[in-house]
Amino acid sequence: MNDRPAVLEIEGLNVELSISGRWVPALNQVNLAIHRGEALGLIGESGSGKSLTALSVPGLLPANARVTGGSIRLMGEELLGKTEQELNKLRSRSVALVFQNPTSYLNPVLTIGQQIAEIFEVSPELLGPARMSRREQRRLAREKAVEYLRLVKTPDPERIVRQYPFELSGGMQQRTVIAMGLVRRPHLVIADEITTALDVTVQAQILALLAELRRSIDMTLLLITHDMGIIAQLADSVAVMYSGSVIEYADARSLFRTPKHPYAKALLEAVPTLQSGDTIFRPIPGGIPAITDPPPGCRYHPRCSHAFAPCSVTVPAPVLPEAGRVVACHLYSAAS
Amino acid sequence: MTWMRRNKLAVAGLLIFAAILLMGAIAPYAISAAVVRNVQFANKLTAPDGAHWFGTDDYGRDLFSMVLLAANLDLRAALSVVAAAAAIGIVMGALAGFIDRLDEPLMRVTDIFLSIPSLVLAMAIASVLGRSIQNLSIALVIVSWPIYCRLMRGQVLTEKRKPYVRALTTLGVGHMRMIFRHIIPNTLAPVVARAPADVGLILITMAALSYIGFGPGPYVPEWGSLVAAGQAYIFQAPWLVIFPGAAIFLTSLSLNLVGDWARDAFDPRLRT
Amino acid sequence: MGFLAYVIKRLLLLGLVLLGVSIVVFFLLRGMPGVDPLAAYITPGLPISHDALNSLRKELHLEQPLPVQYYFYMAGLLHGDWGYSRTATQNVLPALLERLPATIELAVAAVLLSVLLGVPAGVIAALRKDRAADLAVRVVSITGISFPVFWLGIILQLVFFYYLGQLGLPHLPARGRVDELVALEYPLQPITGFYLIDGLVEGNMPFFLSALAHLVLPAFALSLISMASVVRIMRASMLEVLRQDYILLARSKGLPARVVVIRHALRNAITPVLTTAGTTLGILLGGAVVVETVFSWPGVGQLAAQGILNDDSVLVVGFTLFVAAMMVIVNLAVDVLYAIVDPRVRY
Repeated sequence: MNDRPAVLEIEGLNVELSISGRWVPALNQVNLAIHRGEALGLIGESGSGKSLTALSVPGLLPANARVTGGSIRLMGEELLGKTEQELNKLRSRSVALVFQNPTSYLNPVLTIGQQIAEIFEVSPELLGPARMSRREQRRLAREKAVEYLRLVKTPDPERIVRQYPFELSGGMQQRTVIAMGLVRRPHLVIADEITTALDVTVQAQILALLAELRRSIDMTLLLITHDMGIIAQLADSVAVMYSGSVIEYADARSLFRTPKHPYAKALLEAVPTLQSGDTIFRPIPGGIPAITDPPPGCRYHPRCSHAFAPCSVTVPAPVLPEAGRVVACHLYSAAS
Repeated sequence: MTWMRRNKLAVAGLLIFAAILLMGAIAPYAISAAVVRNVQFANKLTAPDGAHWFGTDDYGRDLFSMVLLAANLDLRAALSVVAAAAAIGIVMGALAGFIDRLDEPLMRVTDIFLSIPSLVLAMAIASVLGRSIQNLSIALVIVSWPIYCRLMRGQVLTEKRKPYVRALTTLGVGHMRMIFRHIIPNTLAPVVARAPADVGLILITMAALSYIGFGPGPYVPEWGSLVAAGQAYIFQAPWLVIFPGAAIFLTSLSLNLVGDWARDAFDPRLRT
Repeated sequence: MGFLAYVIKRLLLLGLVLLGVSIVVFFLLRGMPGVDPLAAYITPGLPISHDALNSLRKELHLEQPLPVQYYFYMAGLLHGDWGYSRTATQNVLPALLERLPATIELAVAAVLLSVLLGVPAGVIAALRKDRAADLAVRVVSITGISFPVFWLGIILQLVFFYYLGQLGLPHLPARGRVDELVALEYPLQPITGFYLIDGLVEGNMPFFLSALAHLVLPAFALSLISMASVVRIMRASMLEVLRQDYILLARSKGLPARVVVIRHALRNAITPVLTTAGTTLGILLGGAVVVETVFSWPGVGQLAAQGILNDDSVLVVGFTLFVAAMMVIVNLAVDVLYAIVDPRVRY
């Protein structure tokens, strides 16, 4: 959070999934806000709902999901309820998604250049204000593609532009997808587990790239990951998700120093560090609840070492224990 | 039972085929064979009516009886061809899949057979053997076994990597016993799933070849040759062509409906 | 590996298969137990002298052991001597080549039709999976393959030629490639042998139109055979592709649905359809024998059918080899096409 205007505001978002014919709640009252130039890290285990949250912003939820309440505002504009055409315009200009496994997200039969240049088809205004012929358009699109490939530090962009995805390494493919995202000069970049499929050295390069892009083009970033280390490196603020809700929100430093929610605490403790000299692993006992049969009350309470009476009865509402921090846990509720 | 409701088409197909099969089975008993030789020129080419449900042909014979008798012949031939081709193909395929030294040569052989369209090859074989339904059946068996062989081989190749095969080998189970007692029963399903649709295909191929001229003469009723015979009178007596052809169509359709379901049910890779 | 090396590799493989086919065919001609190889040369009812038989025996090297006979047979094949057909009253190969354009015109029209109708049907069925349109498409395609082609052809003739004609409505012709009167009045100089191409090239519109009209019914009958597989494969392939991640990314770029389906999905989904186009050609050639007979279409299939009636196994067997060779060529062309569409194959 900073003093600049909000780019993305998600308020009370509820999403349901259809499983074996039944609709079950998958996202419950998710609240998020990202401001201009900020990097928000969204962290949680697999199945916590991070990707669903990401996909609901540009309206790309899968066919078996539906939004049942809440509001998503981009630059103040309400997104829920927009038509497909309006959403398409949005996707091509304002929001860029970068996904996890670049190999499977690039079309194997089109060249890199073609896949980047497509964006200009939907939004030719990105090439410049003047009206131009198709040939001019194509030429300019090529140039822009090369320019952005250079921006993401791809070696030899003129050659890459003519190649097919399978001819590139994993790291280069991911840079391509990032370039595809940036070409449209979006207000928001959503990066969903973008380094999970890459090996460690490449991961470091991509993270360094993201850090630099934040500086050079003032990029606003929603960074989704399950890796605490990435959060520590890049994020300004952090939202922790568990089983479909945001259970803690704070700026990165505060969260790492003094996590409040027991789950957040356990997550941090579960990561072994070289300094701690630990030889014991401290995993969190149990597993995430199935969304078809969630525990009553706070969904974390079966695994929580601090659980007490109200935890198995009511879902804790988010409260502000201090300025700039939000927690959804009965330990901090005003009543207790 | 909900299975039945969800696969209405397949059930319908099964019922239709069962009905046709039944009619074909009892035909030689219910209808006197003399009908075929019962030439009554006075009665020839009459349109369908109460006495003759399908009308009469150019020899004055009741078309309905002819079509039913032909059902017997055609169904018996098609079923036996598929049974024989499947049996041969399954055994050969299992051998090819299991015994490495046999695999390469057998695959080349099936390659060759599969590179010639089945109708054409059947034509060539039957023309050399001589024109008769038996030779036609033999030709069709020769043409059809390679596909079953290929399918079975593929199945066996994956199956023999499974742990239970290795376990049985260490117990000293011999090749032949392994193939016939264990591997074939476990891998049969998707291969057999082809069979219903194949019967339909063989039926049509046989009728087509018999239409062109491989068929038995006018005294042995066969659907394809009935259509061929009727074509000469098509404008005056279209029923001669319509009914036998419709019989082939209906049988083939019902078999395809069942076969479609069988294929989806037994072959997970094709599931959409 | 490169494009050229890929093509050469395929060529060699297919050549081997062709060799195998020639062995099978030769066996049918000369090696079948209980069958006299000379029987095909004897017209029943027409007396033939012992001398003629003997010289024939010498010509065909029938005294030699089979492998030697095969050598002479292959030598003959490669020199263009595929034997003499008494049905065509000429040598087999020239007889077939003469009639080949007619069959190709028919087969190509059938394939085009099955693709033009089948691909959109499959795409629609995939996009509207499990809804009314999907079910309708599947039912229609199952019905399509259940039709015996020869019967369908006859029924088409009955409806579109006879009944329409009876009602005084414009009708489609049922026999031959072109109307005889039109051919007399507006003769065509055969260049390629393809009436449609020649007609257009020479600007002979009456001929062209008549040829086109004659092509409709037989091509449609023939196309049904492959159309069902085209629809099923297109649908399955499309469903598979639509599930892919790159489709999600394409949508996230804001591309309109039409572009996503055609440029991203279809281009990836169509390759299985192309390969089956190659294999269905084989079935089409088999079906051509029947369709050409029904519609009196003067192609190689009709000649082969006449050969059957005549017990002319030289012709029928030669036809088999011919068809196998054509399939090899088409399969090669499909492989090349595949390599063009999907760049990954070349490497």
